[in-house]
Amino acid sequence: MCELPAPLNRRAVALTLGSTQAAELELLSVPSDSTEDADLTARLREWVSAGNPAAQVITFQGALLFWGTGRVAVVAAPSRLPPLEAVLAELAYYEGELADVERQLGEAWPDLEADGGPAFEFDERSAKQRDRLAKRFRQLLGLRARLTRIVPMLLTPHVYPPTLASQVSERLRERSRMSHRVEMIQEQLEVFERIYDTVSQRASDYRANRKGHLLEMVIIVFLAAQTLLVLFEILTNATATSVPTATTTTTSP
Amino acid sequence: MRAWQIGIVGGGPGGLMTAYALQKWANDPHHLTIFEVGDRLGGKILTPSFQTVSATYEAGAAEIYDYSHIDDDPLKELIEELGLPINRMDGSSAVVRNRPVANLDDLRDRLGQPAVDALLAFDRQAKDQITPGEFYATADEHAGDPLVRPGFDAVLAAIPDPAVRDYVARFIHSDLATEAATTSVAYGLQNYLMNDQAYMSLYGIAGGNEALPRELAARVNADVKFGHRVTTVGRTPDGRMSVRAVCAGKAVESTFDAVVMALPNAAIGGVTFAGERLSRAMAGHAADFDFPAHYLRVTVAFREKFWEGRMTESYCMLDCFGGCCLYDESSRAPGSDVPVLGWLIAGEAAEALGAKTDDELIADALAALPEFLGDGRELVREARVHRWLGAVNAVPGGYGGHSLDQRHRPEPVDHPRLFVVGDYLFDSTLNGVLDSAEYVALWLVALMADRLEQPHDRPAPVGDTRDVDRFSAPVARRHRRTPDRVRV
Repeated sequence: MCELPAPLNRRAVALTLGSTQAAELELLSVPSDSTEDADLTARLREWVSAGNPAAQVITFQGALLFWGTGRVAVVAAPSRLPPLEAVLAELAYYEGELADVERQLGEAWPDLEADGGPAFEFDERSAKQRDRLAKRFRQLLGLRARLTRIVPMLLTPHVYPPTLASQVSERLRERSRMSHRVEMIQEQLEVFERIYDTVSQRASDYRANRKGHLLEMVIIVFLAAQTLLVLFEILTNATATSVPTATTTTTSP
Repeated sequence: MRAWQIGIVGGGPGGLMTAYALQKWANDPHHLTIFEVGDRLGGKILTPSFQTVSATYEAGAAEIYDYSHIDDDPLKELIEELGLPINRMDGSSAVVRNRPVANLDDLRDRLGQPAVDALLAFDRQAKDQITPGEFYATADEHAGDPLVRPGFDAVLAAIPDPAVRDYVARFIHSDLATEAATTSVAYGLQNYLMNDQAYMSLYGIAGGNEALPRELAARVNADVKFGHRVTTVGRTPDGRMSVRAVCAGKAVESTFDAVVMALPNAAIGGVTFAGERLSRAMAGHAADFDFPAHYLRVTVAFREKFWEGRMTESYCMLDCFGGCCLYDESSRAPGSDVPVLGWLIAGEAAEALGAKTDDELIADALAALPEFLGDGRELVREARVHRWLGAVNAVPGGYGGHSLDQRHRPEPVDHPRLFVVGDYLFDSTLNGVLDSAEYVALWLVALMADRLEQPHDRPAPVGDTRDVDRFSAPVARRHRRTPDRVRV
């Protein structure tokens, strides 16, 4: 149906009815020149709203859209449907990615609150959690990468002169408040990154300090040993020099 | 230390913005006097109410241009500073032969693929000639711009498809407020490009655009003289400026250290300027910008919102009256239960229809509704007409290539303290009038700082622009060459 550009490199393909493959989006397209059929509108609304109470309805320039998570229905003239289907599949992917990043960030908040302590005081107990903290930091960077990949498509400027598909895309992006959501996610990511960056710094400092302490201890032990050896040598020498030595004289013939 | 006396002739947006900027920036004591011929402040910004229903509508400046995505947007900053909320406006569709054309798909259906190709070729050509950055560029550059030349009709004539040529002409007609033959290439192209959000977008002030002058007036500490028609402006022997006005048949004369003429260009001719040099300079100034453009506004309150679902944006273009903008005035007030539509009739059609009575104009406007909106003709509750003939400029900035200093101080030799502020000096928009007002206000602030001691005893040296260069240059860079258009 459509190909998402690099770095996404994904394609939306139509599945045949009865396919066992799981679909992320169910798209129902209805070719019709009229968008004022009350019965059709009610049935489409019911279909999209199943499990999607927040589904949106948009009437725009001869097209009727029902937009919900995972389910989208569109009514438009037959000639307008292919580009509309493509743009809806593309937007559904971006919306899904955005929603997933939002969900994962939401789920990560309790961990963040629990992990905030080591940002201020990193001790032996925190050191034992180092691998877990590093894993969370990696997950966070993964979310940032996912967001960064789709942001250029979400914030793409309006097209002029427009096509119906570009207008629908712009309208849906606005209705879904995608630019605001991106801004909010980026702010949340900054908070997460700051905390985990600080924790990471504390962990590095702690390890460096601990290594330093160990090294100091080793040096102290060596120095102590050296001191003992020196003392032993001094004492040994002192004992040796205290024994009276015989004086010998020689006379020449 | 004596306070500077500054007289401002005109209580429209230009006068109020000048007063507000002066009050904000001047560190030196000054006293402002505003002469207003009518009984209200705000000029072409007018948000009246209907008599029989509780609803307001824009009878004057209909929208404000947003350049904030490109660079500084002083007007948007001012509106934020005044605490006024805004509503975004959009409109992409035009009615062609009774059917809406909102995008290239519609255009292909109505006029065929060659028409789409012709429109895209014209679009590329327009964008090649003016980039968004150039669109925003300084007004100074306007002076040497090769596109500031007559003959936008020749540009349109180069569109090979006559239907597309007609479509483009009608689509931008109500923005131009004039015909393609009587405007510049730059102005015509800008009015086409402004539909692209890469160049600019539109918004209105929630509750009505008149909130802007109202809030400015509430903050300006000035002696406002309502009902004063200024008849004569001249110079006194000691170098000050004199203003003679008539109020209720009685002549009143005042003297000032500086005077700012904040009038529409057409109204400058109604003032007598004393002295041959000043009279000649002001006549030349008026002639340089004498490109009158016209608007008529017909606004109708209906019993039902019969366009629901059929007109989904803030406005659309109709192919009647040579190209007419139809506003969904109710979209400005989402909570309002009174549906209102407003027709903006422009250019020669407005001039020709100007002689008709209000009832005739209302009938013409309703008759111009496309067939798919025709059922509204029987649902009228109340209708109002506002006439703005000659109130705007068809070639703002003129063809003369005058610098900003020349535009704002027409006679610098003997009357260096007579300034002119006007939207027609920049672009006939609210954005332009603010640019003009701030330009003059900064100039006056510089003069005050430099000549604070007994200003009337020390008239400005002839041709002295030292302080002007120092203070106005940074501001000049900020002034955009905005699209030379206005919607009233």
